[in-house]
Amino acid sequence: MIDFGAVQQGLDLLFSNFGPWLVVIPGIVLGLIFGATPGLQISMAMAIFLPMTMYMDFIQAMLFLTAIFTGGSFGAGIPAILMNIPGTSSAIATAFDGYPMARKGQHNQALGVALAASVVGALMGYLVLFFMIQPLSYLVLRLGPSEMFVVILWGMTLIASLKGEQVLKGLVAGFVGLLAGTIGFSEIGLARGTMGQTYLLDGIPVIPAMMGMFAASELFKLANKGFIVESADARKVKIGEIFEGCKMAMRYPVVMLRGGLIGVLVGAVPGVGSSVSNLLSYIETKRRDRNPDSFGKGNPKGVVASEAANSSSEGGSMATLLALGIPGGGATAVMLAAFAMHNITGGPQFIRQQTDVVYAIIFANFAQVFLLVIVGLLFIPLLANIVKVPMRYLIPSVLVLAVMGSFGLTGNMTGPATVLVFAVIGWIFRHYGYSVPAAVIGMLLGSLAEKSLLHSYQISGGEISYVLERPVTLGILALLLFSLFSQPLMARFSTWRVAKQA
Amino acid sequence: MPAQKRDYGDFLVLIGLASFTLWYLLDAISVSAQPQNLLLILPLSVIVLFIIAIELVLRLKQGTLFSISADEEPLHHTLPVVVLFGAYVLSLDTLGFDVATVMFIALFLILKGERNWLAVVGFSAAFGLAVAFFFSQMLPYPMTLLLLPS
Repeated sequence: MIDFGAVQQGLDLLFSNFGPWLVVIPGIVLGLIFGATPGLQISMAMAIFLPMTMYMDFIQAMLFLTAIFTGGSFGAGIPAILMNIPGTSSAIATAFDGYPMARKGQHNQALGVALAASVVGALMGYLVLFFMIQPLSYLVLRLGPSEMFVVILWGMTLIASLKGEQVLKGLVAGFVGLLAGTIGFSEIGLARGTMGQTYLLDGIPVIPAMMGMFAASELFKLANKGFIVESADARKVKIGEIFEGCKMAMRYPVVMLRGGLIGVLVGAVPGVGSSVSNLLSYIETKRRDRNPDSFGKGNPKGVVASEAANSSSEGGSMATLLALGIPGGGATAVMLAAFAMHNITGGPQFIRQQTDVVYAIIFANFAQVFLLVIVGLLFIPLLANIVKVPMRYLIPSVLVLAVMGSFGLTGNMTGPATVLVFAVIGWIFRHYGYSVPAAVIGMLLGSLAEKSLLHSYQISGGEISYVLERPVTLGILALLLFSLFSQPLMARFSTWRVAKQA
Repeated sequence: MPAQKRDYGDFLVLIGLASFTLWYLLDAISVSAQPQNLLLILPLSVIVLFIIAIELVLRLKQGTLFSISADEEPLHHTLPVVVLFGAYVLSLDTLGFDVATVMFIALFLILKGERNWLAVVGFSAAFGLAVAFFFSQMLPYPMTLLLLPS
């Protein structure tokens, strides 16, 4: 499973000179800044700084890009906790409990919990990558379009039913989101729902829509508040409390382990990645907890579950990139471009011929994880000061950043216009109790769901019996049904048991 | 506990979502009725319309069609902010990202009760121009700017 000769060569590559390490700390800092700034994406940071890697050797380039990735994965959780605005879609679930913790004055602890969970999660992701890169790539190869479709359906159903008391509204929001995600050109070249507008041909710009629904609509609601944290005492940034948060995270090793494993497995699935893994991990943690009602109200386990999963997804997506040459998302797509710039093609042959380089990248990421602790602890107090800013200053500033960032993503006024439209939709959804995360995730996964279903249809020739020949599909379908019905069944069982005991 | 009051908004949102679903389904059918085109859209639309129908029937039965638990913050309290944000986005192309941003921040501060004029002018000008300049330099696309060099 492990080629020890290549391990030795990998270590030599990393430690024979100091060159590769010079770019790691700047990379983590850049990732933290871009991840923590709503509207700026980790993939955007990597794309902007990609040309710089032309002047680096391959190892140094990969260290720089993975450092941005590592820093950004944690950075995205900071605005999610402090402002309820996930820096990227991978930190959506972090906001569910991180922000309520901040509102209760536990923002320092929440940041500490997120840092510790991120560090352990990222470490787990790369450990799994180290031991499992070959079997994992084989497993990913076994996932066909029908499995991808049921994974999406499973995730969607779970996400939509997050708001326990309004499941029907959650399902409507999620499924309408899925429909909206298919607007534009389909896989077979037909344009639907564009109303003749050329800017909709590529579909709704999902990230600006996400910024509108999550960020702007929440900020509208907060416009009449004085501060994010109402109590002046609670707004203080205390390094001791951040450490306390780190220790708090360590009290939930099972949540962390489960989040890490979900992150690696889901992160390895192309196109799904950390955007889904953080939500799946959160939902699983909530579902298994003795007190699921405490989630969404500031339960640190929610932050641990989300951050461990989104950070370990990095290892999973790197496995797919290295083993198959398939990028799992925007960030790994930029890395694939870096591969091309250095005339390297990822895939089984790359792993076989350049195993030392693969191990060097993995070892460098172990070190990056520890550097993230130091850089993160230095930066959190600076970034956490955001809670001291009055809302009347903070809200227009963040709205401006979101508008500018959306312009940066689309290169024209489509981005800001999308933010505006979806800010209003999100505002109305929030007001009437529709699940905003379900709608956003639906939009993110709509085209992928349709593509997977279409490919399954083409492979099977329209025969439904094809599904019966796919044990993994059936297994995930069973999981879907179990997830949907286990909670009400368990509730009935508990009532029956209580009645019997009485 | 949020107050229970008569509110047509939620009913209208449900009707709006049903209308969007129906319109999108009909639009997709008008483009092509091939199974490959409707593989996801048709069953999903039917499910959405079915769920909305269930929700409406349940509410009708419970007599709560127009009375829902309203958010504690009435919509009209935040409406000025939404309108201001809309005006900001729509004016970006005309006023430029620099001037529109400075004006948006200044007007927001005034709207939310900031009466220190030095803070209003100073913060809106400093932050607005700095952000517009940063993005205009970082992004590879041309941005409409009125005061700053493009």
